[in-house]
Amino acid sequence: MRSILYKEFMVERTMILIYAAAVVLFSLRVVPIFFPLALSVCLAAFFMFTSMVHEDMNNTHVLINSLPVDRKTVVTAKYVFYLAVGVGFIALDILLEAAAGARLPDIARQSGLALLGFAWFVSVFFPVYIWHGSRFVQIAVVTLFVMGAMAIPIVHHLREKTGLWGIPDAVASLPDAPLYGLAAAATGLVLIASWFLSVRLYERKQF
Amino acid sequence: MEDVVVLDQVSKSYKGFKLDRVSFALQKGFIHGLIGRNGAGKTTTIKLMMDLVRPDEGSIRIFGLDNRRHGREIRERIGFVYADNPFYDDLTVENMKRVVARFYKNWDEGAFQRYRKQFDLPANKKIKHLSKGMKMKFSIALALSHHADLLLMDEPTSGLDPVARREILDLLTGVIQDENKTVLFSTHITSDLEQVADTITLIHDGKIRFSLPKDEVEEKYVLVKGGTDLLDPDTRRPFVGIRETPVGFEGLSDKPEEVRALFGDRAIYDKPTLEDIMVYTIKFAEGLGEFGHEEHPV
Repeated sequence: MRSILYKEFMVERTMILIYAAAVVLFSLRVVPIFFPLALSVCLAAFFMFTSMVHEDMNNTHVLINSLPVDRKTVVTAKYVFYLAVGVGFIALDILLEAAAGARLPDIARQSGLALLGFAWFVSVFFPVYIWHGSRFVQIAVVTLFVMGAMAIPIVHHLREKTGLWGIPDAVASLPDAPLYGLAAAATGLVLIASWFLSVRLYERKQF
Repeated sequence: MEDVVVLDQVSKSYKGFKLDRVSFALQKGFIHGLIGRNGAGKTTTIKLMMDLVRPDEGSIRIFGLDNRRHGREIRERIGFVYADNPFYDDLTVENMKRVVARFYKNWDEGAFQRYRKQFDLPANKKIKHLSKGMKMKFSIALALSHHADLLLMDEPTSGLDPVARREILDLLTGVIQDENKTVLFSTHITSDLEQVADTITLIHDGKIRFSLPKDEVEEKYVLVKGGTDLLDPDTRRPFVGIRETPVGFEGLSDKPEEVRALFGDRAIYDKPTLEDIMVYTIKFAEGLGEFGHEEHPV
Protein backbone atom coordinates (compact mmCIF):
# COMPACT_ATOMS: atom_id res chain seq x y z
CA MET A 1 0.00 0.00 0.00
CA ARG A 2 2.73 2.46 0.98
CA SER A 3 4.58 1.71 -2.28
CA ILE A 4 1.53 2.62 -4.36
CA LEU A 5 0.83 5.74 -2.32
CA TYR A 6 4.45 6.75 -2.85
CA LYS A 7 4.04 6.09 -6.58
CA GLU A 8 0.90 8.23 -6.71
CA PHE A 9 2.66 11.03 -4.87
CA MET A 10 5.75 10.91 -7.10
CA VAL A 11 3.68 10.90 -10.26
CA GLU A 12 1.22 13.60 -9.20
CA ARG A 13 3.26 15.86 -6.94
CA THR A 14 3.65 18.65 -9.51
CA MET A 15 -0.08 18.61 -10.24
CA ILE A 16 -0.87 18.58 -6.52
CA LEU A 17 1.23 21.72 -6.10
CA ILE A 18 -0.45 23.45 -9.04
CA TYR A 19 -3.95 22.58 -7.78
CA ALA A 20 -2.99 23.58 -4.21
CA ALA A 21 -1.78 26.93 -5.52
CA ALA A 22 -5.16 27.41 -7.21
CA VAL A 23 -6.93 26.59 -3.91
CA VAL A 24 -4.78 29.23 -2.16
CA LEU A 25 -5.60 31.87 -4.79
CA PHE A 26 -9.34 31.21 -4.53
CA SER A 27 -9.38 30.89 -0.72
CA LEU A 28 -7.56 34.17 -0.21
CA ARG A 29 -9.87 35.77 -2.76
CA VAL A 30 -6.87 36.73 -4.91
CA VAL A 31 -9.11 35.42 -7.64
CA PRO A 32 -12.50 36.69 -6.46
CA ILE A 33 -15.18 34.01 -6.38
CA PHE A 34 -18.36 33.59 -4.38
CA PHE A 35 -17.86 30.17 -2.75
CA PRO A 36 -14.18 29.06 -2.67
CA LEU A 37 -14.79 25.88 -0.69
CA ALA A 38 -17.11 24.51 -3.35
CA LEU A 39 -14.44 25.34 -5.88
CA SER A 40 -11.83 23.46 -3.83
CA VAL A 41 -14.06 20.38 -3.97
CA CYS A 42 -14.41 20.84 -7.73
CA LEU A 43 -10.62 21.17 -8.01
CA ALA A 44 -10.11 17.96 -6.01
CA ALA A 45 -12.59 16.18 -8.27
CA PHE A 46 -10.97 17.58 -11.38
CA PHE A 47 -7.52 16.62 -10.10
CA MET A 48 -8.70 13.03 -9.66
CA PHE A 49 -10.19 13.00 -13.11
CA THR A 50 -7.10 14.43 -14.88
CA SER A 51 -4.86 12.08 -12.92
CA MET A 52 -6.83 9.07 -14.17
CA VAL A 53 -6.68 10.30 -17.75
CA HIS A 54 -2.93 10.74 -17.29
CA GLU A 55 -2.69 7.15 -16.03
CA ASP A 56 -4.60 5.86 -19.04
CA MET A 57 -2.53 7.92 -21.48
CA ASN A 58 0.68 6.45 -20.09
CA ASN A 59 -0.91 2.99 -20.10
CA THR A 60 0.68 2.42 -16.71
CA HIS A 61 -1.90 -0.14 -15.60
CA VAL A 62 0.36 -2.70 -17.27
CA LEU A 63 3.31 -1.52 -15.18
CA ILE A 64 1.45 -1.43 -11.86
CA ASN A 65 -0.13 -4.82 -12.37
CA SER A 66 3.20 -6.37 -13.32
CA LEU A 67 4.66 -5.34 -9.97
CA PRO A 68 4.33 -7.48 -6.85
CA VAL A 69 1.09 -5.99 -5.63
CA ASP A 70 -2.47 -7.30 -5.70
CA ARG A 71 -5.29 -5.49 -7.39
CA LYS A 72 -7.26 -4.96 -4.20
CA THR A 73 -4.34 -2.96 -2.83
CA VAL A 74 -4.08 -0.94 -6.05
CA VAL A 75 -7.73 0.11 -5.77
CA THR A 76 -7.58 0.73 -2.02
CA ALA A 77 -4.51 2.93 -2.44
CA LYS A 78 -6.30 4.98 -5.09
CA TYR A 79 -9.25 5.62 -2.75
CA VAL A 80 -6.91 6.55 0.10
CA PHE A 81 -4.78 8.81 -2.10
CA TYR A 82 -7.58 10.76 -3.74
CA LEU A 83 -9.57 11.09 -0.52
CA ALA A 84 -6.42 12.38 1.17
CA VAL A 85 -5.84 14.91 -1.61
CA GLY A 86 -9.48 16.04 -1.42
CA VAL A 87 -9.36 16.37 2.35
CA GLY A 88 -6.06 18.22 1.99
CA PHE A 89 -7.52 20.77 -0.46
CA ILE A 90 -10.60 21.28 1.71
CA ALA A 91 -8.47 21.62 4.87
CA LEU A 92 -6.21 24.11 3.13
CA ASP A 93 -9.20 26.17 2.08
CA ILE A 94 -10.72 26.08 5.60
CA LEU A 95 -7.46 27.14 7.21
CA LEU A 96 -7.00 30.04 4.82
CA GLU A 97 -10.62 31.16 5.09
CA ALA A 98 -10.44 30.97 8.90
CA ALA A 99 -7.22 32.94 8.83
CA ALA A 100 -8.94 35.52 6.65
CA GLY A 101 -11.63 35.94 9.31
CA ALA A 102 -14.53 33.78 8.17
CA ARG A 103 -17.05 32.66 10.82
CA LEU A 104 -16.04 29.30 12.26
CA PRO A 105 -19.55 27.77 12.65
CA ASP A 106 -20.21 28.49 8.95
CA ILE A 107 -16.87 27.01 7.99
CA ALA A 108 -17.49 23.85 10.03
CA ARG A 109 -20.87 23.31 8.39
CA GLN A 110 -19.56 24.04 4.90
CA SER A 111 -16.46 21.90 5.27
CA GLY A 112 -18.61 19.00 6.50
CA LEU A 113 -20.78 19.35 3.42
CA ALA A 114 -17.71 19.70 1.20
CA LEU A 115 -16.18 16.49 2.58
CA LEU A 116 -19.42 14.60 2.13
CA GLY A 117 -19.81 15.96 -1.39
CA PHE A 118 -16.31 14.93 -2.34
CA ALA A 119 -16.72 11.47 -0.80
CA TRP A 120 -19.88 10.98 -2.88
CA PHE A 121 -18.03 12.06 -6.01
CA VAL A 122 -15.22 9.56 -5.28
CA SER A 123 -17.80 6.85 -4.59
CA VAL A 124 -19.49 7.32 -7.94
CA PHE A 125 -16.41 8.18 -9.98
CA PHE A 126 -14.22 5.16 -9.23
CA PRO A 127 -16.51 2.27 -10.15
CA VAL A 128 -17.66 4.11 -13.28
CA TYR A 129 -14.06 4.83 -14.26
CA ILE A 130 -12.92 1.25 -13.71
CA TRP A 131 -15.94 -0.14 -15.49
CA HIS A 132 -16.02 2.14 -18.53
CA GLY A 133 -12.56 3.70 -18.70
CA SER A 134 -11.36 7.26 -18.92
CA ARG A 135 -13.00 8.12 -22.26
CA PHE A 136 -16.46 7.47 -20.85
CA VAL A 137 -15.62 9.33 -17.65
CA GLN A 138 -14.24 12.24 -19.67
CA ILE A 139 -17.58 12.61 -21.42
CA ALA A 140 -19.55 11.98 -18.22
CA VAL A 141 -17.62 14.55 -16.16
CA VAL A 142 -17.90 17.26 -18.81
CA THR A 143 -21.63 16.50 -19.14
CA LEU A 144 -21.99 16.64 -15.35
CA PHE A 145 -20.21 19.99 -15.10
CA VAL A 146 -22.28 21.46 -17.93
CA MET A 147 -25.51 20.14 -16.42
CA GLY A 148 -24.42 21.40 -13.00
CA ALA A 149 -23.72 24.84 -14.42
CA MET A 150 -27.13 24.83 -16.12
CA ALA A 151 -28.90 23.55 -13.01
CA ILE A 152 -27.61 26.27 -10.66
CA PRO A 153 -29.66 29.15 -12.19
CA ILE A 154 -32.71 26.90 -12.51
CA VAL A 155 -32.50 25.90 -8.83
CA HIS A 156 -31.89 29.53 -7.89
CA HIS A 157 -34.95 30.60 -9.86
CA LEU A 158 -37.08 27.87 -8.29
CA ARG A 159 -35.90 28.88 -4.85
CA GLU A 160 -36.89 32.47 -5.54
CA LYS A 161 -40.24 31.47 -6.94
CA THR A 162 -41.31 28.53 -4.80
CA GLY A 163 -38.85 28.48 -1.89
CA LEU A 164 -38.22 24.90 -3.08
CA TRP A 165 -41.49 23.95 -1.40
CA GLY A 166 -39.98 24.55 2.04
CA ILE A 167 -37.53 21.62 1.78
CA PRO A 168 -34.34 23.63 2.58
CA ASP A 169 -36.05 25.30 5.53
CA ALA A 170 -37.26 21.94 6.82
CA VAL A 171 -33.76 20.49 6.55
CA ALA A 172 -32.24 23.60 8.17
CA SER A 173 -34.66 23.33 11.10
CA LEU A 174 -33.47 19.80 11.91
CA PRO A 175 -30.84 19.55 14.65
CA ASP A 176 -27.34 19.60 13.16
CA ALA A 177 -25.68 16.68 14.96
CA PRO A 178 -28.10 13.85 14.00
CA LEU A 179 -28.45 15.24 10.49
CA TYR A 180 -24.71 15.31 9.88
CA GLY A 181 -24.29 11.99 11.66
CA LEU A 182 -26.85 10.40 9.36
CA ALA A 183 -25.28 11.98 6.27
CA ALA A 184 -21.79 10.86 7.35
CA ALA A 185 -22.99 7.31 8.01
CA ALA A 186 -24.74 7.15 4.65
CA THR A 187 -21.63 8.52 2.92
CA GLY A 188 -19.43 5.99 4.73
CA LEU A 189 -21.65 3.13 3.61
CA VAL A 190 -21.71 4.38 0.02
CA LEU A 191 -17.93 4.75 0.08
CA ILE A 192 -17.43 1.19 1.34
CA ALA A 193 -19.91 -0.18 -1.21
CA SER A 194 -18.10 1.78 -3.93
CA TRP A 195 -14.70 0.44 -2.84
CA PHE A 196 -16.03 -3.11 -2.76
CA LEU A 197 -17.53 -2.75 -6.24
CA SER A 198 -14.36 -1.11 -7.60
CA VAL A 199 -12.18 -3.92 -6.25
CA ARG A 200 -14.42 -6.54 -7.88
CA LEU A 201 -14.44 -4.66 -11.20
CA TYR A 202 -10.68 -4.07 -11.16
CA GLU A 203 -9.95 -7.70 -10.35
CA ARG A 204 -11.82 -8.67 -13.50
CA LYS A 205 -10.07 -6.11 -15.67
CA GLN A 206 -7.63 -7.21 -18.35
CA PHE A 207 -4.79 -5.11 -19.64
CA MET B 1 15.10 -30.33 -15.41
CA GLU B 2 12.89 -28.11 -13.29
CA ASP B 3 9.97 -26.41 -15.04
CA VAL B 4 9.73 -22.78 -14.01
CA VAL B 5 6.66 -22.04 -16.13
CA VAL B 6 4.05 -24.53 -17.30
CA LEU B 7 1.22 -23.51 -19.60
CA ASP B 8 -1.34 -26.26 -19.91
CA GLN B 9 -4.02 -26.08 -22.59
CA VAL B 10 -4.38 -22.33 -22.20
CA SER B 11 -6.97 -20.65 -24.42
CA LYS B 12 -7.93 -17.03 -24.70
CA SER B 13 -10.37 -15.54 -27.18
CA TYR B 14 -10.59 -12.01 -28.42
CA LYS B 15 -12.68 -10.66 -31.24
CA GLY B 16 -10.92 -11.95 -34.35
CA PHE B 17 -8.17 -13.83 -32.50
CA LYS B 18 -7.89 -16.94 -30.41
CA LEU B 19 -4.99 -18.33 -28.47
CA ASP B 20 -5.82 -21.96 -28.85
CA ARG B 21 -4.93 -24.61 -26.24
CA VAL B 22 -1.38 -23.42 -25.82
CA SER B 23 0.87 -25.78 -23.88
CA PHE B 24 4.57 -25.47 -23.27
CA ALA B 25 7.05 -25.34 -20.42
CA LEU B 26 10.09 -23.20 -19.64
CA GLN B 27 12.94 -25.01 -17.96
CA LYS B 28 15.09 -23.40 -15.32
CA GLY B 29 18.45 -22.02 -16.39
CA PHE B 30 17.71 -21.55 -20.09
CA ILE B 31 16.92 -18.79 -22.54
CA HIS B 32 13.66 -19.66 -24.23
CA GLY B 33 12.78 -17.98 -27.49
CA LEU B 34 9.17 -17.35 -28.42
CA ILE B 35 8.94 -16.56 -32.11
CA GLY B 36 6.09 -15.68 -34.40
CA ARG B 37 4.97 -12.86 -36.59
CA ASN B 38 3.25 -9.75 -35.22
CA GLY B 39 -0.19 -10.64 -33.88
CA ALA B 40 0.62 -14.34 -33.55
CA GLY B 41 -0.10 -14.41 -29.82
CA LYS B 42 3.33 -13.77 -28.23
CA THR B 43 2.29 -10.75 -26.18
CA THR B 44 -0.98 -12.38 -25.14
CA THR B 45 0.97 -15.42 -23.94
CA ILE B 46 3.28 -13.22 -21.84
CA LYS B 47 0.36 -11.18 -20.50
CA LEU B 48 -1.35 -14.41 -19.50
CA MET B 49 1.75 -15.41 -17.55
CA MET B 50 1.79 -12.00 -15.83
CA ASP B 51 -1.93 -12.33 -15.02
CA LEU B 52 -2.64 -9.16 -16.96
CA VAL B 53 -5.18 -11.10 -18.98
CA ARG B 54 -7.14 -14.12 -17.79
CA PRO B 55 -7.34 -17.39 -19.68
CA ASP B 56 -10.72 -18.70 -20.79
CA GLU B 57 -9.47 -22.24 -20.24
CA GLY B 58 -6.36 -24.01 -19.03
CA SER B 59 -3.91 -23.36 -16.25
CA ILE B 60 -0.62 -21.52 -15.79
CA ARG B 61 1.83 -22.48 -13.09
CA ILE B 62 4.93 -20.42 -12.37
CA PHE B 63 7.52 -21.59 -9.82
CA GLY B 64 5.05 -24.42 -9.14
CA LEU B 65 2.33 -21.95 -8.08
CA ASP B 66 -0.97 -21.07 -9.69
CA ASN B 67 -0.36 -17.67 -11.30
CA ARG B 68 -3.74 -16.24 -10.31
CA ARG B 69 -3.79 -17.30 -6.69
CA HIS B 70 -0.16 -16.44 -6.01
CA GLY B 71 0.25 -13.49 -8.37
CA ARG B 72 1.97 -11.20 -5.92
CA GLU B 73 4.47 -13.82 -4.77
CA ILE B 74 5.22 -14.82 -8.35
CA ARG B 75 5.67 -11.26 -9.61
CA GLU B 76 8.17 -10.62 -6.83
CA ARG B 77 10.39 -13.15 -8.64
CA ILE B 78 9.74 -11.94 -12.20
CA GLY B 79 11.57 -9.24 -14.11
CA PHE B 80 9.44 -8.00 -16.98
CA VAL B 81 10.34 -6.06 -20.09
CA TYR B 82 7.53 -4.93 -22.36
CA ALA B 83 7.75 -3.85 -25.96
CA ASP B 84 5.71 -0.70 -25.25
CA ASN B 85 7.07 1.75 -22.71
CA PRO B 86 4.95 1.23 -19.57
CA PHE B 87 6.61 4.01 -17.55
CA TYR B 88 5.48 7.48 -16.57
CA ASP B 89 6.88 9.75 -19.26
CA ASP B 90 7.23 12.76 -16.98
CA LEU B 91 9.33 11.05 -14.33
CA THR B 92 13.10 11.00 -14.50
CA VAL B 93 15.03 7.74 -14.67
CA GLU B 94 15.98 8.14 -11.00
CA ASN B 95 12.43 8.86 -9.83
CA MET B 96 10.90 6.06 -11.87
CA LYS B 97 13.48 3.71 -10.40
CA ARG B 98 12.57 4.91 -6.87
CA VAL B 99 8.91 4.17 -7.56
CA VAL B 100 9.58 0.66 -8.89
CA ALA B 101 12.27 -0.22 -6.32
CA ARG B 102 9.88 0.21 -3.37
CA PHE B 103 7.74 -2.68 -4.58
CA TYR B 104 10.52 -5.29 -4.37
CA LYS B 105 11.80 -6.88 -1.19
CA ASN B 106 15.06 -7.88 -2.91
CA TRP B 107 15.81 -4.60 -4.62
CA ASP B 108 19.57 -4.28 -5.18
CA GLU B 109 20.45 -0.59 -5.57
CA GLY B 110 24.09 -1.43 -6.30
CA ALA B 111 23.09 -3.70 -9.18
CA PHE B 112 20.79 -1.04 -10.62
CA GLN B 113 23.51 1.62 -10.49
CA ARG B 114 25.92 -0.78 -12.22
CA TYR B 115 23.46 -1.43 -15.03
CA ARG B 116 22.61 2.27 -15.25
CA LYS B 117 26.28 3.10 -15.76
CA GLN B 118 26.81 0.18 -18.10
CA PHE B 119 23.90 1.38 -20.26
CA ASP B 120 24.84 5.08 -19.97
CA LEU B 121 21.40 5.90 -18.60
CA PRO B 122 21.25 9.52 -17.41
CA ALA B 123 19.67 9.53 -13.94
CA ASN B 124 18.06 12.95 -14.26
CA LYS B 125 16.67 12.66 -17.75
CA LYS B 126 12.91 12.29 -18.12
CA ILE B 127 11.64 9.02 -19.56
CA LYS B 128 9.96 10.88 -22.43
CA HIS B 129 13.34 12.23 -23.50
CA LEU B 130 14.97 8.80 -23.74
CA SER B 131 15.35 7.06 -27.08
CA LYS B 132 13.54 3.76 -27.62
CA GLY B 133 16.79 1.88 -27.06
CA MET B 134 17.44 3.76 -23.82
CA LYS B 135 13.92 3.07 -22.57
CA MET B 136 14.43 -0.61 -23.29
CA LYS B 137 17.77 -0.62 -21.48
CA PHE B 138 16.15 1.13 -18.52
CA SER B 139 13.42 -1.48 -18.49
CA ILE B 140 16.03 -4.24 -18.56
CA ALA B 141 18.06 -2.59 -15.78
CA LEU B 142 14.93 -2.49 -13.59
CA ALA B 143 14.08 -6.09 -14.43
CA LEU B 144 17.58 -7.26 -13.49
CA SER B 145 17.95 -5.28 -10.27
CA HIS B 146 15.73 -7.26 -7.92
CA HIS B 147 17.34 -10.67 -8.45
CA ALA B 148 14.44 -12.01 -10.47
CA ASP B 149 14.46 -15.76 -11.14
CA LEU B 150 12.46 -15.37 -14.33
CA LEU B 151 12.82 -12.67 -16.96
CA LEU B 152 9.85 -12.20 -19.28
CA MET B 153 10.85 -10.06 -22.22
CA ASP B 154 8.35 -9.10 -24.85
CA GLU B 155 10.13 -7.99 -28.01
CA PRO B 156 13.04 -6.39 -26.13
CA THR B 157 15.05 -5.84 -29.30
CA SER B 158 12.23 -4.61 -31.50
CA GLY B 159 13.01 -1.23 -33.02
CA LEU B 160 16.58 -1.14 -31.71
CA ASP B 161 19.67 -0.56 -33.79
CA PRO B 162 22.08 -3.50 -34.23
CA VAL B 163 24.54 -2.18 -31.63
CA ALA B 164 21.87 -1.82 -28.95
CA ARG B 165 20.46 -5.22 -29.88
CA ARG B 166 23.86 -6.83 -29.53
CA GLU B 167 24.38 -5.17 -26.14
CA ILE B 168 21.11 -6.58 -24.88
CA LEU B 169 21.85 -10.04 -26.23
CA ASP B 170 25.30 -10.03 -24.63
CA LEU B 171 23.74 -8.97 -21.36
CA LEU B 172 21.24 -11.82 -21.52
CA THR B 173 24.00 -14.30 -22.19
CA GLY B 174 25.72 -12.95 -19.08
CA VAL B 175 22.53 -13.19 -17.01
CA ILE B 176 21.99 -16.80 -17.90
CA GLN B 177 25.44 -17.73 -16.57
CA ASP B 178 23.56 -17.85 -13.29
CA GLU B 179 21.89 -21.22 -13.73
CA ASN B 180 19.04 -20.28 -11.44
CA LYS B 181 17.74 -17.70 -13.87
CA THR B 182 15.34 -18.37 -16.70
CA VAL B 183 14.56 -16.08 -19.61
CA LEU B 184 11.61 -15.99 -22.00
CA PHE B 185 12.43 -13.78 -24.95
CA SER B 186 9.72 -13.12 -27.50
CA THR B 187 10.66 -11.67 -30.85
CA HIS B 188 9.97 -11.72 -34.54
CA ILE B 189 13.68 -11.06 -35.18
CA THR B 190 14.76 -14.67 -35.28
CA SER B 191 18.44 -13.89 -35.77
CA ASP B 192 18.55 -12.60 -32.17
CA LEU B 193 17.51 -16.00 -30.91
CA GLU B 194 20.02 -17.87 -33.08
CA GLN B 195 22.66 -16.23 -30.91
CA VAL B 196 21.24 -16.72 -27.44
CA ALA B 197 18.28 -19.09 -27.20
CA ASP B 198 18.39 -22.64 -25.90
CA THR B 199 14.85 -23.54 -26.89
CA ILE B 200 12.50 -22.22 -29.53
CA THR B 201 8.74 -22.07 -29.45
CA LEU B 202 7.00 -21.04 -32.64
CA ILE B 203 3.54 -19.58 -32.27
CA HIS B 204 1.37 -18.76 -35.22
CA ASP B 205 -2.25 -17.70 -35.37
CA GLY B 206 -2.68 -18.47 -31.68
CA LYS B 207 -1.35 -22.01 -31.92
CA ILE B 208 1.99 -23.46 -30.89
CA ARG B 209 3.58 -24.98 -33.98
CA PHE B 210 6.55 -26.43 -32.14
CA SER B 211 8.43 -26.04 -28.90
CA LEU B 212 11.83 -27.68 -29.03
CA PRO B 213 15.47 -27.26 -28.00
CA LYS B 214 17.20 -25.10 -30.59
CA ASP B 215 19.61 -27.92 -31.51
CA GLU B 216 16.69 -30.21 -32.19
CA VAL B 217 15.01 -27.56 -34.32
CA GLU B 218 18.16 -27.27 -36.38
CA GLU B 219 18.44 -31.06 -36.72
CA LYS B 220 14.77 -31.58 -37.40
CA TYR B 221 14.64 -29.39 -40.49
CA VAL B 222 16.59 -29.31 -43.72
CA LEU B 223 16.53 -26.73 -46.48
CA VAL B 224 16.52 -28.43 -49.88
CA LYS B 225 17.43 -26.72 -53.16
CA GLY B 226 17.12 -28.27 -56.58
CA GLY B 227 15.61 -28.13 -60.03
CA THR B 228 11.85 -28.03 -60.47
CA ASP B 229 12.05 -31.25 -62.47
CA LEU B 230 12.58 -33.05 -59.15
CA LEU B 231 9.16 -32.03 -57.94
CA ASP B 232 6.06 -34.13 -58.37
CA PRO B 233 3.13 -34.84 -56.02
CA ASP B 234 5.07 -37.61 -54.27
CA THR B 235 8.34 -35.70 -53.80
CA ARG B 236 6.44 -32.63 -52.56
CA ARG B 237 4.89 -34.56 -49.67
CA PRO B 238 7.78 -34.42 -47.15
CA PHE B 239 8.03 -30.61 -47.42
CA VAL B 240 6.67 -28.14 -44.92
CA GLY B 241 6.75 -25.53 -47.67
CA ILE B 242 8.24 -25.02 -51.11
CA ARG B 243 9.19 -21.82 -52.91
CA GLU B 244 9.45 -22.29 -56.67
CA THR B 245 11.16 -20.06 -59.19
CA PRO B 246 11.58 -20.58 -62.95
CA VAL B 247 15.06 -21.98 -62.33
CA GLY B 248 14.46 -24.21 -59.35
CA PHE B 249 12.96 -24.67 -55.95
CA GLU B 250 13.84 -24.21 -52.34
CA GLY B 251 11.88 -26.12 -49.74
CA LEU B 252 11.89 -26.78 -46.05
CA SER B 253 11.36 -30.31 -44.88
CA ASP B 254 10.96 -31.73 -41.40
CA LYS B 255 11.82 -35.20 -42.75
CA PRO B 256 15.51 -34.83 -43.65
CA GLU B 257 16.17 -38.53 -44.13
CA GLU B 258 13.17 -38.99 -46.39
CA VAL B 259 14.15 -36.11 -48.67
CA ARG B 260 17.76 -37.28 -48.85
CA ALA B 261 16.51 -40.72 -49.84
CA LEU B 262 14.21 -39.17 -52.45
CA PHE B 263 16.65 -36.76 -54.08
CA GLY B 264 20.07 -38.19 -53.31
CA ASP B 265 22.81 -35.97 -54.67
CA ARG B 266 20.51 -34.31 -57.20
CA ALA B 267 19.64 -31.68 -54.59
CA ILE B 268 21.57 -29.41 -52.21
CA TYR B 269 20.89 -29.68 -48.47
CA ASP B 270 21.44 -26.70 -46.20
CA LYS B 271 20.94 -26.04 -42.55
CA PRO B 272 17.93 -23.71 -42.35
CA THR B 273 17.96 -20.56 -40.26
CA LEU B 274 15.21 -19.96 -37.72
CA GLU B 275 13.85 -17.39 -40.13
CA ASP B 276 13.58 -20.05 -42.86
CA ILE B 277 11.79 -22.37 -40.47
CA MET B 278 9.44 -19.64 -39.27
CA VAL B 279 8.65 -18.33 -42.75
CA TYR B 280 8.02 -21.72 -44.33
CA THR B 281 6.00 -22.99 -41.40
CA ILE B 282 3.85 -19.88 -41.36
CA LYS B 283 3.41 -19.81 -45.11
CA PHE B 284 2.35 -23.44 -45.01
CA ALA B 285 -0.14 -22.80 -42.23
CA GLU B 286 -1.54 -19.77 -44.05
CA GLY B 287 -1.55 -21.19 -47.55
CA LEU B 288 -2.47 -24.80 -47.06
CA GLY B 289 -4.44 -24.75 -43.86
CA GLU B 290 -3.66 -26.37 -40.59
CA PHE B 291 -1.30 -29.22 -40.06
CA GLY B 292 -1.92 -31.71 -37.31
CA HIS B 293 -0.33 -31.68 -33.90
CA GLU B 294 0.56 -35.34 -34.48
CA GLU B 295 3.06 -34.31 -37.13
CA HIS B 296 4.52 -31.49 -35.04
CA PRO B 297 4.15 -32.51 -31.46
CA VAL B 298 4.63 -29.85 -28.84
